Amino acid sequence: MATVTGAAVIGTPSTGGSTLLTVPTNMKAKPKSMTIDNQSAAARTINLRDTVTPDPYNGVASPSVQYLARGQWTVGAGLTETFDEFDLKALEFIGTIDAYADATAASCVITINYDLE
Amino acid sequence: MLSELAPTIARSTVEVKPSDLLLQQNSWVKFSKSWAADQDYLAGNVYQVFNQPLVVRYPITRKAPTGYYATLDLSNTVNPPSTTPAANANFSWQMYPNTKNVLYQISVGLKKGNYFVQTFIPSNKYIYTVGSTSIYPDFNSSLWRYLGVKYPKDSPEESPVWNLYTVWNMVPIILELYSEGQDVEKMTLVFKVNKCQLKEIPPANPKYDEANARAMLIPYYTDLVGF
Repeated sequence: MATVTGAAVIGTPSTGGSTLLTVPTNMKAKPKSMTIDNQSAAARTINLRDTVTPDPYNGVASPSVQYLARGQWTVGAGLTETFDEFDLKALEFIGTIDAYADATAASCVITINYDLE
Repeated sequence: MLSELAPTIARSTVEVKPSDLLLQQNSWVKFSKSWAADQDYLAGNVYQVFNQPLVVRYPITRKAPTGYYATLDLSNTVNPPSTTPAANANFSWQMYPNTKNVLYQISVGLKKGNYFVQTFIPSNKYIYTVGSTSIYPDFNSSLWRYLGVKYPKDSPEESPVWNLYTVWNMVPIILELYSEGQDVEKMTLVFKVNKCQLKEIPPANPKYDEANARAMLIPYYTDLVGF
């Protein structure tokens, strides 16, 4: 049962990673649609990662941060690609949604619509 | 120390929601005689809930890599975790009353996810197992890892059917949350603590016989194992 629906985040993917959303402690973020608008002069390859620091678990009192790859998409120069719920099925984030790109370009923008569950 | 919906609805003739099964004002409860080993003053006694219970929502989330487990000690034995990341897992979540004559009925709802829960009362005693002493739940064994565990579907957040009961200073209830997701799993348990104040119904009370017969029995953990 979704408790927050239809929210959206917009950002510019970067080589060092741009945080689009910090997922609330007791929830998971489920992307429902995603648009990559690449108006830069070259094709851009975008990666989404889930940045998570686990809580203490058996044998590990202070776990280190993990960068979990969640998907990669390449969009040609001057193109806009939209991915719907079917394309994003089973994608979920539990830490922060971070967007990485092969090169930082302010004219390449990613928009994610999501539910929090 | 714990109960589930199934035996209750087996005797019901109307549709019952899990939330209807929370103790309410004037509900009767009875502690088994085995409580003498822990809280002697409760053993065999019958009580009535005399307040309008207060329900406290208490969600807890643990994140662990697949193949590992996080431990929740529900007791008040040691300090609670701080707001900053805990240095280690040795803390208690303070779900026990801090005075006598108070009962916490704690419904446990599990949010969806790829994980399951094993239960210990106290820390070295499996509750959900069969009578044979030659097998027991074991997270290190792919064969016995799943013996007696609870999945989110067994007591979902929206309609929890799993209840724990705690009183002042009793033995710890330990839940171990085993992650079985693709890499790291977020495991959220939504506890609802129904805080009940108890007043004893002594045998001399005219209501005693009826209360004793109809009260909800709260077993001690030794009543739940060994058979």
